[in-house]
Amino acid sequence: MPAFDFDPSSGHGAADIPAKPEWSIGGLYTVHADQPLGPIGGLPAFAATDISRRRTGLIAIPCLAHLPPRSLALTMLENTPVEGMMCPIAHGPALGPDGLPAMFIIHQSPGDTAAGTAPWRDTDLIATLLRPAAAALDRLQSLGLTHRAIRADNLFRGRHGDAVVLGPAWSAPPGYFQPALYEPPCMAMCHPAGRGDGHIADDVYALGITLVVLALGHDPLAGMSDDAIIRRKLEIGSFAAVTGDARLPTAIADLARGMLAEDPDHRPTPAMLANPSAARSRRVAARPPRRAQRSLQLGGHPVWTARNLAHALCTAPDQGIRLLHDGSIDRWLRRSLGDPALAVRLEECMRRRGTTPGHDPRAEKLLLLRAVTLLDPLAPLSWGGLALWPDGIGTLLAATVADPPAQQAALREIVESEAQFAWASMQEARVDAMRARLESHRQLMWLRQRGWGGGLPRLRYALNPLLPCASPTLAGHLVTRIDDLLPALDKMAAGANASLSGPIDAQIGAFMTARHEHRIDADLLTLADAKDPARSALIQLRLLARLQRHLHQDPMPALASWLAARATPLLLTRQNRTKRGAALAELQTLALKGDLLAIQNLIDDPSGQATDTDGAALAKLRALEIDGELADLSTQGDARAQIARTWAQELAMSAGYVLLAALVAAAVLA
Amino acid sequence: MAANRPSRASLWIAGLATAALLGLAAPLAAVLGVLLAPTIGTAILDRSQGKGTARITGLFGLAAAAHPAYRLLNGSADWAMAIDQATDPTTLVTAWASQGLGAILAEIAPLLVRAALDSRSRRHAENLHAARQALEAEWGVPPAGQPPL
Repeated sequence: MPAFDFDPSSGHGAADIPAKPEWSIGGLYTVHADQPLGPIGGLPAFAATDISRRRTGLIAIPCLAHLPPRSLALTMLENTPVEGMMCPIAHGPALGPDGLPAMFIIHQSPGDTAAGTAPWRDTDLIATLLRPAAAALDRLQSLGLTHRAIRADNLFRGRHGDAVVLGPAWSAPPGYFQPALYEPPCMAMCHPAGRGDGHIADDVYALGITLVVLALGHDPLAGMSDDAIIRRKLEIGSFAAVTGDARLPTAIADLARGMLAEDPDHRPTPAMLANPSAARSRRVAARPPRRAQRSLQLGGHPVWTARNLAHALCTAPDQGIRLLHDGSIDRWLRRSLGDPALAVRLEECMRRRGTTPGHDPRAEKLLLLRAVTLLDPLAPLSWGGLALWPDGIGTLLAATVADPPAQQAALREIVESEAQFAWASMQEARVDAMRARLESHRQLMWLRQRGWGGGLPRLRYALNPLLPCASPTLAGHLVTRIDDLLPALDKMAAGANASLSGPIDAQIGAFMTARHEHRIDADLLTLADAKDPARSALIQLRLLARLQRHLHQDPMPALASWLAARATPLLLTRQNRTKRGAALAELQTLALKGDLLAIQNLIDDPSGQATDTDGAALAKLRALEIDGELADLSTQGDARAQIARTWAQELAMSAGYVLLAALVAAAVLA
Repeated sequence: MAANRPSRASLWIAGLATAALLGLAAPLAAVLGVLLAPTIGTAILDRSQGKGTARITGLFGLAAAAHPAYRLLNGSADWAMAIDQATDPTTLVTAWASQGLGAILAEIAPLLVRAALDSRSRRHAENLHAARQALEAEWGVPPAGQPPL
């Protein structure tokens, strides 16, 4: 089912919240604000009703403003629902609990939370959780999607004994609400918003953890910090770290051992898990991590394994780069860990990419990234203490927009340094380096784009198709699609905010160029540098008129009047007063009609402007000629008198000659 | 003006013609002298370049003297007839009145032509003023005497 527009007829302004709090999504679904259902999938949920089918028993989950929902998953699952998980039915903007519009995702009501405090029997786990979840993940894998929110408190079922349904996972970036326990360490060490879509093997890992937690009836690592959980998993392996000395049913232990394999390639696929007996018998020989004889102190913790060292370099980059340069890490690898081959590779990496310590911070970050990837081939992209999965950079950009600028600066550096490609080129067996390079170049191009069509805002909107426009001009409006922009601007223009300098700002410019396939970068660049308000209004008019034409949108009288008022000074430069008056009158008429393109054609008329300029020049020239002629006339009195005398003499002489000839003839003939 | 000043050759020709006339037809010359006396006086008094008034007066005088002169030449052409012609009051008044008319015409004609020319110039100036006002109204051209915007 497609996404829905915000229904203006059923919606209310921020200052006009209805007495009974109900909100409508596109006039098709009603969200009942007075029936909160508690958090589901990490977010508050509300009861909802399908108005057209009169169907109740739905829930609506709002998305957080700075966390874009998973657009691809929404699009695919709304059209192709998957059994065994809470799939989205529809999504769209409606008024949120705070009276401001928010994106809501409608789901079928899931029933009760499946997890309890009592341990589950292994037969129950396999029959009601593992098999249906494996089937759902298998279907999800065939669609090219991942779930990334499988955990004990996000499982639901109608009644005891029913098959478990995986909870919602679409309102936030993948894995955003997952505790470190449920994530593979290479994912858990990433920023929650930068974990990326991951792989179906990461869902298998989370399912394995869930099996262990439900079999034990409690969280085996409760009380430990996320960092401690990650270090423990990296040090002794996930299965050992999670199960410890706990007694698990044999079947669950066998399954969990494979599902919690460190290498995603060693985990069973969902299809294998559909047959638990076969999955249990599957054995993949994985070498246990090499443990050092003596630990290395880094980041305030002892480091015992190479993967631990990689993690410590991620979390304590400054100390890590110092130890790399002074050779401490090389010595530890050779003498304590006993892995001279790894030390040689690291030394080679440093020699090829080596920098003078402290000389170029960006080069040092790149060196650290390579060192981390070399020490732990499963490690994520690490940049100056920030870890992320490369396909999570978009969601991380969106999530950290309100954070201290250091985060955004780090993300900018990642793109500018093409760190994604550097990371991918060291993981050629797992990652398509060429694809990473193309993506890296594409992002770099967007970032380097000058004007309002580029920079981090462009990246943010281009990488997050459902991220609403963050322009302060659109405060109180949720604009996630390009189709929503003009109606929102029209409403805003009709309101109190219409006194602002212009409708398009840097955020709207970036939003437009990211969402609209037509090239508008040149206009946005000009707009960013425009000093003259009228000229700026004309460029904005041109951009919005083009948008209105391409999207075949309805008239926008308020927006048109707003822009027309700002662009009027351009018409006032016309020198022909008659045509100027007619143009101003026509401008008012067109503004009332809301036709932006017609207004643009009226104002942005180079040939008419040239004709006017030429006409004015000719008029001035003609005036000068007239002045000259009048001056001549005023000074030609004497000349005229002379001419009059000459002409009069000639006339009189002629008369005299005629008279003489006549009288001579008369005398001769008489 | 050099163009209106009689050339030396024309003065010679006029002198020779006068001398020839006095020598060959003295009675005729006497009659013409009497009849054209106002012209001669005008020519002496006219200080304007080219002596336009005198020339016009002379032409009118010659026209009035054509009939008496023809009658003299067709008659005996002697001194008696010449005196008779020159003292005929009708002939004398006609000749002198004709020259007076020529003199008046010579003085009035420039005034009339000047008035016609002035009228035409005034109409042209009015048209120019109207055209300029139209330019000022249509294009915002500053009024005459104001600096351009």
